[in-house]
Amino acid sequence: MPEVSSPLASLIEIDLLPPRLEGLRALADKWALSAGFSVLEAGQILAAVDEALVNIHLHSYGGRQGKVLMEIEKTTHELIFQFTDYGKPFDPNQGTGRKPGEIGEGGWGTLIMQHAFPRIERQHLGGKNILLLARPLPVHKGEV
Amino acid sequence: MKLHFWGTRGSIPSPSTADVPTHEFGGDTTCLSLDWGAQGLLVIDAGSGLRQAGLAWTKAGRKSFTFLFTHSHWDHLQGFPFFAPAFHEGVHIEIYSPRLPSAHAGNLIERSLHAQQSEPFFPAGFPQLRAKIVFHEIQPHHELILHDGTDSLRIQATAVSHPGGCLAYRIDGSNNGKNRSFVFATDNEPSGEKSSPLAQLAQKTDLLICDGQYTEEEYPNRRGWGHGTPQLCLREAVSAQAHRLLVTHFDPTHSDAFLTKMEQDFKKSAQATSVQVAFARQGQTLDL
Repeated sequence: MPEVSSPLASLIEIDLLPPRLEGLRALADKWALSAGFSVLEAGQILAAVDEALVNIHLHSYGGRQGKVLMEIEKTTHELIFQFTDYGKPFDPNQGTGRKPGEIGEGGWGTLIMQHAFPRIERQHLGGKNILLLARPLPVHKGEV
Repeated sequence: MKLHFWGTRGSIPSPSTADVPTHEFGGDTTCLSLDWGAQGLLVIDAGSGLRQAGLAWTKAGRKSFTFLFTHSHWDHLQGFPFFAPAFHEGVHIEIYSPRLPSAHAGNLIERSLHAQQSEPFFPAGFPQLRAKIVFHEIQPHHELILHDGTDSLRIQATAVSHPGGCLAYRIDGSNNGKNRSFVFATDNEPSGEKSSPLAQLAQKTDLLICDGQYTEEEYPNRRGWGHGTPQLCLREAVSAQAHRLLVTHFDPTHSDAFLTKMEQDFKKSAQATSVQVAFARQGQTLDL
C-alpha cells in the first residue's frame, strides 16, 4: 500500500475492497479532527467519504476489487478529499441527489456528500473518474 | 547543466513583421529546456517554442522527457499539440503539474492539455497521442528530486502573484562537480518586498529568470495583470542576492528595437547593484 504523507497532504493508493474501508475511514477521521472540525462535523465528513468509497466499489468497479487513489489535502482554507478510480465512467446525468423530504429509493449518497461538502466536482479524464470533495476549514472564536 | 530558451515571448506568439520585428528576442511563447546529468532533460512550460524543440529532439532520437509546468495559461501550453515526440510509440513523458490552492478536481495540466487538444479546437485529440504520458503534481514548499544515474536535480516551488495562480521554481543541480542553481519565475507580478516568497526561494541563486513584460510607464495601467517590469525583477534579485538576472516574457507589442533600448536602459540602472542583468533571447543557451 504506497502511502505518502506530510503535515499538509496525504496520498494513498489502494486496491479497494470492503475490509480495507476501515483504514481509509480512520485516515479521513484523523484528518477531519486535526483540521479543527468538531466530532459532529468529522462524523459528517466521514459519512461522505465512506459514501464516496462505497460508490466507487459498487458502481465504478461493480463490486469487484479496483484501484483507488485517495488524496487528502489541507489548504489555507479548505480540507480537500480527492478520489481517483479507473473503473466504469460515471454517468453525469445521474446522481443529482435527492432533496431533503423527498421520498423514494436511492439518491441518498449525493445528499450525504452535499451535506458535508459544499464543493463537489466530478471529472472523467484519460480513463479515470475523479471526485473532489472540499469543505471550508472551521473558523474558531478569535479568528477573523 | 545547459539551459536553452525555445520561447521568450509572453501572452501570444508574435512572428516578426515589418512593424514589429521580433527576430532577435524571439516570437515564440515560453518554453525552456535544461540538459542535466548524463542524459536528463527537463522541459519547462510548453509555449509555442516547444514545436521547434520537439522537431530537434525527434531528429536527435530522444525518447524520454520530463515536463515542469508553471501554470495553465495558454501561452504556456499551446505548443504541446505540436510536440512531435508525443505522437510516437516508445516515447515516455512525465509531466509535473502545479497543485494550486483551491484546486479543482483532477490534475490541472492534465485537464488543460486534454481540453486544448480536442474537437473543435484540434483534430488529433490528446487520447490519440501514442507516447506514454504520466501526470504528477507538485505543491508549493514541497520538494521534488529527479534522478539520472548518479546525478540528481532538486526542484522547489513557491506560489507567485498571477491571476489563477502560478508556481515559480528553484532548480538546483551540479555541473562538473560544482553546485549550480537557477530560479524560473514567469508570470509573476513581483511585490518588491524584501521577504517576498520569490526572494526567499531565490536566495543566492546563480540565475534568476524573471517576468519583466512591461515598461515602468506601461505598468501602472496593467497593475494586477500578473506581470512585472525589469525594475521589479531587479528588486527581487537584489533581495535574493542573486548573481544574475535574465528578464523574459516579452510583451507582444515590443519590437526588437524597443527591447534593445529597454535592455540598455535597464543595464545602466542596474549598475549600482551587484546583479548582472540582461534580457533573454530565443535560441540562447546558457552553460550554468
